[in-house]
Amino acid sequence: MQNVMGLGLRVLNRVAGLPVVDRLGLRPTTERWIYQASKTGFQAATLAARQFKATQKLLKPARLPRAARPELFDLTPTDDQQALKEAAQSFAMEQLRAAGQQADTDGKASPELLAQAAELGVAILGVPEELGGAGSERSVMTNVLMAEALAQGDLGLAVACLAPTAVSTALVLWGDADQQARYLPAFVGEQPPVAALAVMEPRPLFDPQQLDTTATRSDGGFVLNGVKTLVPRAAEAELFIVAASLDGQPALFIVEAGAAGLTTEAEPAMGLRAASMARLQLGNVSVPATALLGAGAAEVYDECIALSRLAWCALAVGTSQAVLDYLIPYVNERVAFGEPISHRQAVAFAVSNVGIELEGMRLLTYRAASRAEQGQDYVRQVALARRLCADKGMAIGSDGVQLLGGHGFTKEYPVERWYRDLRAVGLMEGVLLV
Amino acid sequence: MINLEVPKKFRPLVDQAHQVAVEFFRANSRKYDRAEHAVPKELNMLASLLDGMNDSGAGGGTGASGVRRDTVDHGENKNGSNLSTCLGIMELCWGDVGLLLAMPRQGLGNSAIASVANAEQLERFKGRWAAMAITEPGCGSDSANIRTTAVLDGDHYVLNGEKIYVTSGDRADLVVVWATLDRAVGRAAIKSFVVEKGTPGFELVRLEHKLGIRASDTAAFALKDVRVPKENLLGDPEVNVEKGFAGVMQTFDNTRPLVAAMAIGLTRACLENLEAARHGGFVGRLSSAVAGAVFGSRHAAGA
Repeated sequence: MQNVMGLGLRVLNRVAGLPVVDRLGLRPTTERWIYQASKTGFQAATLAARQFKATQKLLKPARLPRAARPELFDLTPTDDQQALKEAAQSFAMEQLRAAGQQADTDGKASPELLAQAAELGVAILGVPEELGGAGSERSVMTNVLMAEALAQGDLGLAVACLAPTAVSTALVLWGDADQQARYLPAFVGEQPPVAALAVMEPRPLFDPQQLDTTATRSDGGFVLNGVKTLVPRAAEAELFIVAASLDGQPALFIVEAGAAGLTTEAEPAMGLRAASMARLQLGNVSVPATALLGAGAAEVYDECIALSRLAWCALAVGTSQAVLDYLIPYVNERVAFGEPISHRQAVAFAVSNVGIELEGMRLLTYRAASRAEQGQDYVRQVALARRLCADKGMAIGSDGVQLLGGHGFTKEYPVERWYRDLRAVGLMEGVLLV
Repeated sequence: MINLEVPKKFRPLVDQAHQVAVEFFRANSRKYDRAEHAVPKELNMLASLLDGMNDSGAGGGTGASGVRRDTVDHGENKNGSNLSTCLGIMELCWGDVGLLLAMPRQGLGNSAIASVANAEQLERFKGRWAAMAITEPGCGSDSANIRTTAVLDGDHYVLNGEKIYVTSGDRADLVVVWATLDRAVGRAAIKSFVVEKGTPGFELVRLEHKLGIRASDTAAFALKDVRVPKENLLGDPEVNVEKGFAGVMQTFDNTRPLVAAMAIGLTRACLENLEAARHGGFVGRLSSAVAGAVFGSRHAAGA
């Protein structure tokens, strides 16, 4: 099927071939125009947003209470967590896994699939009851288990499914009473909004503490300028939380789609293609003073970055498990030189190492999540988890390709997609929260 | 509920183990590393202390309490002796690994006895230090392939063979020896026999000179017609082809994680040393300066 770009090229080819262009001396001008047009790319305005209106008044922001501090060293999920995890896993293995390849090819997830994912209730569990949600307790661990389970099906689709929850979680954690009343009801309603947490910027060695996107104070609010990259489903998103530098400090701003100066541009990447990543350009976007989240406090921003990195660790664990589960039967069945390739130590050791490192990734991720939810300092644990999940997640994806030989390189098998998706783990900032 | 922090109830144990590590292990570490094969007599007093603690049910020890199939609980999560032993070992090996291995009455043989001995044997061997002899010159990783034989002769088994890499072989009172009743049957015929030191024919031929853990003695034995009372065969003398090897292997299930715990304790000691070197003193300042020159100013400031 021809897409816009293909059509444009075909037209261009026709125009370029016309004798009249030369007769009228238009070629240099036309070429310059083409150059400018293609440099700025195919930009589109963001979706005219739904109207977010508060239907109730909260006296104070609704926060989920913290869970009781556990007594014992324990690696077992609670019964509730186990039930949620199993539900997410069934959905992931039955629906996400089957849809993964097509979604990757198309560069998007089907609306039906996303609706089904919403029914799992990940977002709703994170919203307090007084705002129409089903949340009774703040559980980072539950969010990690669900993210891990979804990523076992497909990492790109897991991102597409979970992206809006990052925004609802941010509002629950740091929103004031008015922000919560205005935006959260939509997330527990019939048609939750498409939403995205935009932190990353398109430059090498991006550091989320050094943002180029700026927020300058204006009459009644702020003006935002900058570019965000790899924003999930940005073209369809109705609500964004954007990281911008305010008075030299990174802060988070709520931005409704349809605002003047807010445009997106498709940005298909090496992986996570099912999440329809795009650039988000902010050209003098005005937002009211009420858009600032958490009073711009450094602790709020730091926590946002930490929780988002932890989310990516959870995804890495889930997809790495998918790789391992795929590899074991493959190497036991694939025959070369008269015997299963798993009989070769090089192969057996490689698969064992995947198992060992995966366990390490999982335990570090769980420890960080468990400390976060107990209110203990977890900065170090998240840093350790991220380092290991990035390095080993990438290696596991790569080993998956290598152990399948030529099959690992073709799209007929899922490992090449899992490798491309896993490669993102050490690079991504924002997008998700647990 | 998933939680990976050290439970409060174990903090006293960890503190205690840390004190031992500082006062006994670190204090004697270099001394016994240099004087390989000298008996670390300071440990005897420590062992008495630990025995007291173990018998009072206060937990700790080095896995010598083993694991018994009949007492395995498949119910709820329990932070029991496996975890407490692990935590204790991590702390002690922060002190010194060799000295931990040299702790009296904490041998691998003790784990084997605790795991598979019958009631009468448990009573008889109580309070004795037992080493474990499995490896032979011709078999290490493939322990199912051992060649030491045990032949029933009247009321004794007669053992013949060679054993190497027996930790605490010199200092222990007893050695649990793996021998086969019938090589043709395979692993199911492998049994463990408790051999008293000094039994005729049971000869210590060599103590290894090692790269590390030099405070722990590593012995080689020759067995020439060693007569072992048949009551010293640990557990069941029947050759059960179905589950034969399992009993012996269950000992390893318990002790293998403890080897990992040893590595963790030691690694933590290394890391702390490195961090101290980086930040303190002339060496610290020098290494910071070098790091700064090589990697840029961000690292030089001790980031």
